Amino acid sequence: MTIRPDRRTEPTQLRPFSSSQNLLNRCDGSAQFQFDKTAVLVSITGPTEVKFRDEKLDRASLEVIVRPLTGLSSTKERVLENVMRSTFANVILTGLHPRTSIQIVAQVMKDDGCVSVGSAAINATTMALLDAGIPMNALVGSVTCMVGKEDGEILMDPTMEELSRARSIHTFAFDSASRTSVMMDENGGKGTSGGVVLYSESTGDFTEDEWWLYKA
Amino acid sequence: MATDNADVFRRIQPHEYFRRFIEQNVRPDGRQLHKFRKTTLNVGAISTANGSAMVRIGGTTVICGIKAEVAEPKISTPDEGFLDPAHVQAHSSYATQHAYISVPNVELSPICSPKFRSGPPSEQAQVASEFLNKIIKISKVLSLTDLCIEPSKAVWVLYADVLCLSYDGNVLDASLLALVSALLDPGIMSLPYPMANRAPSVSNSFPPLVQLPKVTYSEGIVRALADEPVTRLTLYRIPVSTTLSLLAKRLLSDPSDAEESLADEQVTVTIDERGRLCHIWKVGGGSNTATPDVLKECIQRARARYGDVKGMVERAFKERRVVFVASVGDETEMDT
Amino acid sequence: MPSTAAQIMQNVVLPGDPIPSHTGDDTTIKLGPGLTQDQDVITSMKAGVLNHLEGSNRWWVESNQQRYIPATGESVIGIVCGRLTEGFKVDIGAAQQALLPYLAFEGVTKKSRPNFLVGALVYARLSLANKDMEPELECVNPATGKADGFGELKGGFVFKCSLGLSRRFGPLLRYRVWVTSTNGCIPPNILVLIFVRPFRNTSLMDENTPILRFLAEQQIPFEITIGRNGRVWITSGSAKTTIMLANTLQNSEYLNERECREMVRKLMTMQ
Repeated sequence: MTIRPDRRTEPTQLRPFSSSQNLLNRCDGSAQFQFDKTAVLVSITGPTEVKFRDEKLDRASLEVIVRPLTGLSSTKERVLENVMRSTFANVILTGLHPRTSIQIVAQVMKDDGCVSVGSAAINATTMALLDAGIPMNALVGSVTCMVGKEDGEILMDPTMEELSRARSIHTFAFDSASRTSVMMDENGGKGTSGGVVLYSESTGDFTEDEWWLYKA
Repeated sequence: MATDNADVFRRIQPHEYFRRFIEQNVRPDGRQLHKFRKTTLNVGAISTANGSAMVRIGGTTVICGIKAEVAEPKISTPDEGFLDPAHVQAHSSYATQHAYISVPNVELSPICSPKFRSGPPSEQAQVASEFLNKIIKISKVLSLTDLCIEPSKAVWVLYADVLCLSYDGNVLDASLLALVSALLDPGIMSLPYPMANRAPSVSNSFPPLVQLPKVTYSEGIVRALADEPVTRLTLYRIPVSTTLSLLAKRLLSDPSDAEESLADEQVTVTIDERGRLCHIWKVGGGSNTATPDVLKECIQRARARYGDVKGMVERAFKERRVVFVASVGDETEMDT
Repeated sequence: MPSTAAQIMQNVVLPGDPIPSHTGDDTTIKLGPGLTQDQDVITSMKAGVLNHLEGSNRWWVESNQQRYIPATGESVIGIVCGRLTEGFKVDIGAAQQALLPYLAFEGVTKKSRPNFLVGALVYARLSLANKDMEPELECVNPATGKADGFGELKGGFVFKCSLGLSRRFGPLLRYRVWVTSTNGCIPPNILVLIFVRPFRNTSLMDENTPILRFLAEQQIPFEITIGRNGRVWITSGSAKTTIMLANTLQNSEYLNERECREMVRKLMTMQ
């Protein structure tokens, strides 16, 4: 039995996560998702009036804004915006609300420096979309994992301390509808039972076999 | 008027237009689905830069220039050099706002396509910049501590800018190839620094090593040592990326601009010379498309592409002339 | 219809969940809100409670949200935002503003067209709602050709509630509650409910929304109009009562019958 820095006992164990919905009064849907010391609050407005420039005749346009914990948003946030938009573009049934805009604003509330902010933001967005009643064809669940430098052990949802000895870091998002091959372990609570990868980003030094393994 | 009709059809029903081509295993530009466009590499394209490379993939042209300078390190990382976009230095207000950004900059300006507007970098440009940054730094292609001259006193700064001159899709592959080739460019050793070592022994073997003059630090002055051998800045891995789009449930290697804007799923696989994966970036999609088989196919195509690109880069450095690989992917006929 | 909490829990669906509605190949299934068909699978696209009506084999998902999506035939409360040549622009809380033509009123002619000021509150019915078109309103009941309570709402107070709550009030959307004086055959202090439109007595006694019944039993005269777009207009003798009623209705969303009764009782003792 391994003991991880934050007293988790299993490599596949996630940090305690929680989510609460309908926190904000003035938007159409909101949710906060938290992995221990990483938390993201997401608000949804829409379907609402669209700027003429972004108007699409056959579907709603998605507008994603990510605000960092402190300071101005940088390249990192822009990348997360891009990831979130492309992840949810095909999950939200945008065709049902043509010529409108759905705005997703994610505010990082707590960030302990680990890479799971992206995962938390994706999970929070799913919960907020549910709260807003935006039609979707599936739920999206996301998780981050890493592989150790020395032992090659896969750790789910690594902490900052564990990340310092990571050889590669991986973030995945799965949708709940396509129950095909892989099963995710922990996400039962959110109703995700794995399936096709919607978004995947892996960095570091790793082999193909390892990559398939993380997905399992 | 048949061609006109086809053009009208393409404009009105772009999805349907592409789908009909793809059903016939061919793309509107005549390529088969797994084929890459003609890729050209010109190393040392900018004579005033320390390292430079121009890459063309079909209609996409990207040029990368690298300039090396000595600077003071950041307080937070006293033993690391940086790899920065040059304009951080040029615009002081930007530098103070983003003091800790050090991302090789990819510029997608209105020069390369009417899709882009002037002004602050577009989201796509930032995504490309971050992509390069992740590969170079997090996937440990370059170690920033190798750029250290004297901890907390002096470090090398590599200003790296990637400028897109003509945009026709797949800017990620082109940018990475340009950046890596520019880093490999042995010209990087002929630094404008006083007394830089101008005649080092350069090995032609692949991978060549980025070379910086051997310098010493004493009493606040960095001096290049003329008679010492050069410091070799190692590229620990030579990454090459391969981008594929999923359109109408089929995989298209090296998507063009039109294909990119229609496809809702994109996979970029980056591998190094040992065949290990550096980075996998997959966005978009849904509805049962990216099955494990499809992703395996992506990695396979990336491996095939790596061989071709590697040969091209080697030849470019050996022969010091513009080299190209015609439609890469010929060797990898596979039924898709 | 699920009634107990356990039954409801069993019928909770999430987006992407398949709906087990295939009883036979030749039966016609009618899909309501929140459901979508993808080839031969019917899946839910919203989180909510799955409902099924045996007789007509209708399936729908009862869900709750804040943003209004217009649907033909629904009655809404809108705010006049502007005047065009053909009608008023009305904000009904949806993605697009709705058009209320000048001629969509009872007995109107080109000469005698209504004259609402910008900012006026109107109670109207959606005569056209389509995802590809701007919604259109009318202030006339197409069945009778009469106004039947549609038109400008003067005075009073508007508050927003969730769409789920506004739907729970049932199809009865505008009515007055008042206490009569001692005249004629009606004994003193007997509650008289005047339903403006449509007359559906059962709704007020709807077990889902006992709150209206409790308020009526308190013998406070008030008038209420509920728009399906989550806007509720309320007016009574005094501002104090109006605000009290508004708060009571808003707070009642997640309370059961007993809790509602308790809340009303407390509020009345505070008055």
